[in-house]
Amino acid sequence: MDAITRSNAPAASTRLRMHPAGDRRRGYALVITALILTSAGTVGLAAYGTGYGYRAIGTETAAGVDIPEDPKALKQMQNKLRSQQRQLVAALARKAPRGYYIVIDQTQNRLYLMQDEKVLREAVCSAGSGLILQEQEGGKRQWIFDTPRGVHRVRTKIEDPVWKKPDWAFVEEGKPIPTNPEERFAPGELGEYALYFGNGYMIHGTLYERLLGRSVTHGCIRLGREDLREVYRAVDIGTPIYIY
Amino acid sequence: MRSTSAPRSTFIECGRAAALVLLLIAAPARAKDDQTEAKLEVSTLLRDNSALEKRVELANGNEFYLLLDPTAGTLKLMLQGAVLRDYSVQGLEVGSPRVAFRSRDLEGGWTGRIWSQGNLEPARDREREHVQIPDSTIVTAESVAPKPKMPLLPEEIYVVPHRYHVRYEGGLSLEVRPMELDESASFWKRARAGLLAWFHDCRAAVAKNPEDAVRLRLILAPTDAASLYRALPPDTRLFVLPRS
Repeated sequence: MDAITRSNAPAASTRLRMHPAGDRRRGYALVITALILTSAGTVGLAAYGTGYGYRAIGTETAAGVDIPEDPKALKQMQNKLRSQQRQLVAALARKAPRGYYIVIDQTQNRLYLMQDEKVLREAVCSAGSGLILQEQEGGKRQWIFDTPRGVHRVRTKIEDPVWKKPDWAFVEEGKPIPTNPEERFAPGELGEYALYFGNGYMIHGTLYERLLGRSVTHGCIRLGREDLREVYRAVDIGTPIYIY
Repeated sequence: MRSTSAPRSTFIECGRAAALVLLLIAAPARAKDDQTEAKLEVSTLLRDNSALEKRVELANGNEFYLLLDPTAGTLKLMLQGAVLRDYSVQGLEVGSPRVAFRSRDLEGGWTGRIWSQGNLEPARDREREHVQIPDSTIVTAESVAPKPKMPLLPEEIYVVPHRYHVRYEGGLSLEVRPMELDESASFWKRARAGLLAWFHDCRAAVAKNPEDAVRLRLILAPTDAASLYRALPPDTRLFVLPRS
C-alpha cells in the first residue's frame, strides 16, 4: 500500500504543476460562460418584462371641475346637474328607435327583426355580392353590387311585386338593352313581398333559396319565404332599416 | 300614598336636556355627512353627464360606433342610438407598453374621449371581382355550358385571425383575443399564437413611437370575436363608458 501511495502522490502534484496555461484557459472559459449566461439571463428577463403590461380598468372620478364648499351653491349645482341629466337621458331616448326596426348584417348575411332592442327573429338572408359590372362595347357605365350601409326607412310595401329590370340586368346577361319598357318586366322573381327602401334597393323574396347566406345579390336583400312573410307583417312604412 | 310626580318630571327634564345636547353635538356631524354625500353625488353626476353628452354626440352622428361598458361587460355596435349588435365581454384589461418592466406612460387621458377612425388590423379586405359577361352571340347547349361556381360563405371568405386589433386615430386600440376561451384549439396552436403575439408586442413596445399608446384587451367568446371581425364597418368610433 505504501509503495502505491508513494508512487501516486508525486504524479498528482506533477500534473498540477505541469499545466498552468491549461488551468488559466479553463478559468477564462468559466468566466466567459458565466458572463454569457448572466447576459442571456438579463436579456431574457428584460425581454420577459417587455411588451404590454395589462391591468384592470379602474373607477373614474370627474376631474377638472371645482365642487363648491358652500352648501347652498352645492345644492344649486346638484339640482342643475340632475336636470341636465334628465334632459340628456331624454335626448338619448329620442334617438333610439322605438317599436319594430330591422337590422341587417350584410357581411354575414343575417337579418334581425328587432323590437325595442330585443331580437324577435333572426333570418338568413343574402346581401350584395360586391362584384363590379363594366359595360361592354364602348359603354362607360360601371355598377358595383354593394348593399348600402347606414340607416334607411321602409318607403313602400308591395305585395306580388313585379321586377322592372334595370339596364345592368341586361348588360350582365350580355343582352341588348330593350327600347320597349314592356320587355323590362319580370313577374315572380322577387317573391311574394317587397319592402322598398330607396335608390332601387328592396328587401324581397327569391327563387333561389339555396343561395341564402351567401353574398350574391346586386345590392338588394333576399329573404326566405317564411321570414319575408313575418317581416312584412311586422313592419310599417317608415320603419327604420339599419344596415352594417 | 306618596306622590312621585315631582322627581319623575325632574328626571324627564334631565333626559330632554341630555337629548338636546346630543342633538346639538350630532347636528354638525350630520351636516358634514350630508355635505360629503352631496359632493359625491355632484362628482358622479358630472362624470355621468359628461358620458351622456358623448353618447348624445355619437347618436347624432352618421358613423357607426362601439360603446364599451366595462361595468356591464358589454360591447355594443350602434348607429344613431340604435343597438345593432350586442357582444358579451368576458374579460377587459387596459395595457400600456413597457420595456424591461418599466412602463412607458403614453396613455394620458384616454378615458372620457371619443375615439374615431377605427379600423381592423389585419384588415378585412376582399378583392373585388368583375362580372364575367357571357357572349350572347355564341349559342351553347345547356349540357356543355359551364356550371356556375357556388359563391363562398362569409366564414370561408373572411378568415378570423387569432388576435386582431381595432386601431383608432390617436393611439388607442382594442385588442380582441378570442383564443383564451377557444377549447377547440390545440395546445401547440395556442402556444404558437401566444409566442407570436408576445414577439409582436415586444417589437411594438420598444419602437420609438409605439403603434398603440394604450390598449384595451377584450376577451370575447370565439363566435362573438369572429362575428365582430367579419361585421365591423370601416371607420367606426369608440366610447368607453366610465366605470362606476
